[in-house]
Amino acid sequence: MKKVIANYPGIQELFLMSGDGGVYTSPTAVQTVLGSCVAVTFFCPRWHIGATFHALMPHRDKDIDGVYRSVDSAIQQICASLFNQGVKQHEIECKVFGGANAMFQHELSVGPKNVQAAFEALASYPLRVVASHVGGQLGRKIVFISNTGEVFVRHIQRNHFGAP
Amino acid sequence: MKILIVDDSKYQRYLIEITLSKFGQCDQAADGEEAVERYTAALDAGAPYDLVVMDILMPRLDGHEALKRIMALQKNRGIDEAALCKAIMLSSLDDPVNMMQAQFEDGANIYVTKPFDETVLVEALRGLGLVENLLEDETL
Repeated sequence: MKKVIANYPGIQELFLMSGDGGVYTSPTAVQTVLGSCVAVTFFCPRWHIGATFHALMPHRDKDIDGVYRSVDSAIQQICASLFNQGVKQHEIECKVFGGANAMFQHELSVGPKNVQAAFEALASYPLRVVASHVGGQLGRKIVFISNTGEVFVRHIQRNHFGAP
Repeated sequence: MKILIVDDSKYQRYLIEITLSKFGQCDQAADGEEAVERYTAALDAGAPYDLVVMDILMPRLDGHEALKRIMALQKNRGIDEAALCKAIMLSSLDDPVNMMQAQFEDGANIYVTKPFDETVLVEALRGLGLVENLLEDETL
């Protein structure tokens, strides 16, 4: 992501693993790689605060640790953090990425379920989804710029499709 | 790049064209049926559109059905999945049902909600590989 970073002097770089997430109050370029997993980016233009996560499954399984591993609990966690910092619900712009269903062509594929869980959880607040780039057969690499809300996305060719 | 902008609002078509005309030649259609007619004519002429930007709520034929027909038209003519036109659904509807249907059933690659910001539309073009993408295609 060197060409992207070159446009944001001094920005911190972070690679987000699956099951991870966070709120970023200082400028951070957050990179992650998605297959059937989902990432939602949150951005508040007023405070230039951003947040994102990389979740593997749609709904929280209480026996499995890690709030960012499932889409519903990740959204709850990030919203609670943003609201705690004074961000208002109507100020948040969300974007949804991932949910490829390349590995499983039948309807039980987890990709669409992850995306649906994200859309439903965001609608329950409601939070505005300004854009989504989901589904399809290929994985995605994304870089989220936390202080501008921009997201750079690139499809990963099939032979690189190793992400969850 | 050839772009087909489909929206029943003349003002919306104008707003979309202002942004997209910097990147390609734009044509307009005022509803889903006109969009399918225009896409068919472009295919017949051997110069299909590279990108379709489609509204949902329109008279005569809605955006869901129109986009499905445009994708089916191409497949019926033997166009490979990877060579199908790119599609952005651009709608004021932001509920899960419409966003899921557009991207998992109709063939839309990206869904953008109105009112849209120009930067979000340009970001969509970048993500579709239709304009320069600064993210390198390196293997991780």
